[in-house]
Amino acid sequence: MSQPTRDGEPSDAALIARWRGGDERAATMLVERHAPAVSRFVASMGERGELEEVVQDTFVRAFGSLDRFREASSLRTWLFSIARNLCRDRARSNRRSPMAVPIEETHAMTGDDPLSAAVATETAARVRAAMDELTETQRAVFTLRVTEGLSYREIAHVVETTEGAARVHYHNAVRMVKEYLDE
Amino acid sequence: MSDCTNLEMRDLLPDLARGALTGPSRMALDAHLATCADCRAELEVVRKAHAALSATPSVDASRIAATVARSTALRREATASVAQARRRRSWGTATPARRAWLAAASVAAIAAGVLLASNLERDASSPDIAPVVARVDEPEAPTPATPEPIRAATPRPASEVELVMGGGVSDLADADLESLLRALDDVDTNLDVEPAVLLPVLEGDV
Repeated sequence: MSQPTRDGEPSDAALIARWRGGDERAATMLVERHAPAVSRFVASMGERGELEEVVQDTFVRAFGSLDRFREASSLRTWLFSIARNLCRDRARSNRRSPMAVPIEETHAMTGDDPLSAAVATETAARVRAAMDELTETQRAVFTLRVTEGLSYREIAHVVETTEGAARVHYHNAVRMVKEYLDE
Repeated sequence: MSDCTNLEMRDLLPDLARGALTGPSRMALDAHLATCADCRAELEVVRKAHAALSATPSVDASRIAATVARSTALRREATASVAQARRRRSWGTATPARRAWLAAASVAAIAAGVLLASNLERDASSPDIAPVVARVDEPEAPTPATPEPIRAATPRPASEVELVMGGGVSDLADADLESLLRALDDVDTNLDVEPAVLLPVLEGDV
């Protein structure tokens, strides 16, 4: 389950062991390591207004049951699973479109050129609108593959399906996004 | 626009869009892209999606970590409290019904011991005094006591436990004592009434 260590940083497994031994700093390091990816995923799933709350709940839940984490998957994959369930619960309870996000809140990467920035923003808005056409599972699979680079096996673990089904979800999602952007 | 049928190459497109494809796989995909318009079009879509979705929203990781630490501390404190409560469970946190049962059983045992001692002191040959019999197995009204052996010779299931005291608890065989303890443990979950069944015994109506 260990993430590759960079610059001599301890692995996830080592940090979890330290946390289990009572080292709270290990928890802080794990949060700082994985919060960016979790927040990207949560944002891609359509949660923007209360994004930090969802990310926080993800970590609180994760550490609440970390004693039972058997390391069958990576910690990051496990966090994605928790985050996805939270997003689904909130979408159900709020009964609102998960992608109903003001376009101006998007965090598209833009260059210094104003024209490029405008085009990038417009493209980002269209991509997000295309994502809105996907099912929740397609959106999760597409995001995890394109943005986080997870393997189909890892994605299958997050969305609780088979590796083959995850691949099908991904290619269907790509086709739908492509068709939307071509319109 | 159609889809390329080379799934192996298509599956590599997200890695190329993220800049994470190197080595032989990268060379193979580059060669494929040179001849496949469908995959080039798909790569463009994936690149746009990556650009749109990969920016990291700002979250306060330190605040989240602090919340996690507080939550963890509370959980550990609660777990410790529960463990401590369980250790005290045998008496301190017993239900009122269980407590009454334990008290009644203790009183019955003491009374029986006193009676036995009194008998032995007065006249060991006096056959008129019936042994004290306490039944702790059934919540129904107690049946009239009938003379029974001083104590059972063989252990019986907890559901059938019957405490017969001609002496005291200390006189019980280990197996009978185990049965009694199991019966008392069952009281915690099975009994929701006061142990009226013992009152006649304690009041000398048996």
